[in-house]
Amino acid sequence: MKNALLFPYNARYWGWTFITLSLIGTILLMVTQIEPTYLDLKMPALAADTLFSNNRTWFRLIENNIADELFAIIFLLGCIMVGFAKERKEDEYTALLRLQSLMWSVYIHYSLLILSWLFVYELSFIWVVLGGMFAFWVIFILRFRWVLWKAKNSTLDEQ
Amino acid sequence: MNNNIFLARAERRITQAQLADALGVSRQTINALEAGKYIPSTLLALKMARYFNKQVEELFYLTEEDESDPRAL
Repeated sequence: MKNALLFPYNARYWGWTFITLSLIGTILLMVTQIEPTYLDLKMPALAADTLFSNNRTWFRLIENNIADELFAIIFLLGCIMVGFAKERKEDEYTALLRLQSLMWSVYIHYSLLILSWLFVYELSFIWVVLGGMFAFWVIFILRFRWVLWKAKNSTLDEQ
Repeated sequence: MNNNIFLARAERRITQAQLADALGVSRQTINALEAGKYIPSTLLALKMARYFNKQVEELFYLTEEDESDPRAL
């Protein structure tokens, strides 16, 4: 089955490499609290409000260390490549499993988000926002790999 | 919808993997199809009919449930 929106099969290896590197980088960043100085850059910010400030500023250059932004982007790119890489034998059944997994992910992700809106407040909600950005892809990839694995190891076989 | 793929395959004495290769799909697709977990596209159904040299209706047929409920998917 031809689907021009999918990446080639080998993109998954790049994807997993990106995910691994970004996770290692993020953990190192959190544990050591050391941000590489060469990533201190002036970035064009569309919006950049400071905490507890009423001064809303638009379109200005801000000084920022982009290590965490870089790891987040690499992680998401990795997820997209893993999730949307063709299978070795890509066919219509695989496409159905992928679509179902995407729907599962939407349902679970937004159910969790609704619960979070109801039960998480104030600064703690930042964790919901942060987690929410990545949860969709994590749920999708886990569910898709799980159903593919189940299908490949199905016990009902030929006779 | 139900199907006779298993019987057609048995007549030909071929494995799921061999049928999958001949049709250009994965073995899981044939497995899911035979287990009734998956309804194939028209294209794949026609390819199967041609491969087994049968009419599509000989391979695939509606169940009573399909016929009684026009909305059943």
